[in-house]
Amino acid sequence: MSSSPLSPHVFGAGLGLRLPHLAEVMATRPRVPFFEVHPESFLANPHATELLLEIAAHYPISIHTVGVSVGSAEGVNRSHLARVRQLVDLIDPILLSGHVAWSTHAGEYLNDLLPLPYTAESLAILSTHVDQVQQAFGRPYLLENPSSYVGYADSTMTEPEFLSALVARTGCRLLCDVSNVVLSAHNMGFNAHAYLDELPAGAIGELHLGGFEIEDDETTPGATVIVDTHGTAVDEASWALYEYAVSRFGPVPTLIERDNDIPDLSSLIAEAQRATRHADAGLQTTVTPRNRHAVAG
Amino acid sequence: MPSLAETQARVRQAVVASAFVPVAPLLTGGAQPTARLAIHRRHYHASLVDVLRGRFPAAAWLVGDGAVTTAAEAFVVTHPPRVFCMAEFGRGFPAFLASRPGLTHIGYLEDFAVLEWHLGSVSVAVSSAAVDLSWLQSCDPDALSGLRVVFQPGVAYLRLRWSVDELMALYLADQVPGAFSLREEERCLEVRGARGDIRFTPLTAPEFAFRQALASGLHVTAASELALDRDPGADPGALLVQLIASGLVAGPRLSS
Repeated sequence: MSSSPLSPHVFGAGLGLRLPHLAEVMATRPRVPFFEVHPESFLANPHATELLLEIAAHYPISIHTVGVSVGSAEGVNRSHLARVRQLVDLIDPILLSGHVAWSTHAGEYLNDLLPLPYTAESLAILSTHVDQVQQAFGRPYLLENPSSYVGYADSTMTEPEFLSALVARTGCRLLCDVSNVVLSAHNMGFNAHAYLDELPAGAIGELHLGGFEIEDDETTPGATVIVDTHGTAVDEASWALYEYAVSRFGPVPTLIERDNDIPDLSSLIAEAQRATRHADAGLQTTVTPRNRHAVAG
Repeated sequence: MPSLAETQARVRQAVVASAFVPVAPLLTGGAQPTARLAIHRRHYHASLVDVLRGRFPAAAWLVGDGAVTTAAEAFVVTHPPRVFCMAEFGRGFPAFLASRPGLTHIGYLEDFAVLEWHLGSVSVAVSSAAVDLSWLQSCDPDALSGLRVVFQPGVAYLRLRWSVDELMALYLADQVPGAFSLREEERCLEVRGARGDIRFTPLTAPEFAFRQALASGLHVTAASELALDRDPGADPGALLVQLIASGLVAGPRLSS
């Protein structure tokens, strides 16, 4: 398998590139280290793809799939994989990633990232599909940790154990969505710093940060549930955990994601610049699992 | 312990059809895990309804946003996407919308929504260089009858039952006339688009038959026969020249 090198030269925070910003990026060429796109937004839009190819001539591009459902028991849809492969071949992205989740059932695409039970069966199925995807793309595929609202009673592994086993089996890398860790830790009741400590640090190839919203948990008076909306600015808790993540995982590309209520490009650039400042702070702090509780406060 | 396939089948039923009872014993999280799973159900429904509302604003202009939203909410339960790109979701929505209670009396609604669907689809196409009449003149006359051509991307041919193109023109121009009369008559439309620009043009019956046949991959002789079926007085040679002159042909189709 050939592989594009993960790209230390794009260390710093990139931006998710969404359709409303294509023309502005082309016109203004903002100082952004890289952009990340969802291929599913471009595959049925040749005009947007044309603009993306122009942008790709000036910026490193990362491709983040949302429809390659590696967690589906029925298998990965080969025709969709082939369409994504065409775009990957055109763009030659610096990174290629997807999700530890499933989205398809009986030929239907459910337009969401649904949770997997962390069992031996899931691990075997997911590993087989990740192998298929990496073979199809001919390059490493990074898998993103999910944002969780529910778990499964039958799970026999913690999420970090499951992800570590997946890395060991497939040689894939991980995309650590720091905001998802904050969200899942709150919703599922685990320690976010301990979660990061348990991930295989050497496998982390990218970090994500995105906004979420806090709602009342209707079933528990006084409790809240965090919902992954990518519709707000990055939360303070995510920034704090991001510094810790950078101190632990080192300088890897970071992305600011925004998919709803998309603001002006300048606002997102300011958020990316803030990420760079936090990353600098994180890099100046050598944190090991042994002293994480002091850092976590 | 159910298999992963069985687990996913139950989760699918909860997310799409709000059937939470079968999946409840499998879940953990919060005081009531099914309430947590309902966050995924909410996202499924809201995101897809938004997709459809964004795809059919003209239909909403015609029958009201509430009617389109209500139909979209029902559509996503009975017609989950079978495509991965949301820009391709909703092809079947025009017929569904027109069949909804309270809308069936609007006989032209399906045609109107079909036209809107195709306008949206062709608007994102990317046109390439078209051949001109000098290319036609360079073709071997003996080979012309077997010629097949490649059309520009972003072209669709629609045979509709109502003059909804005139209504669509009013919508696109943001005009509300004091009175407007739709006619129930066959409309043969050529819909073109590229890089955000769209246009739609009524064609004569032989012109429509000729161009639609060529666009579907038939050769010139077969397309000519179809045009002559519609009008024995049609001139296929003139139809071919007009087609080339319209800039719709990107070149010859290299293999049958």
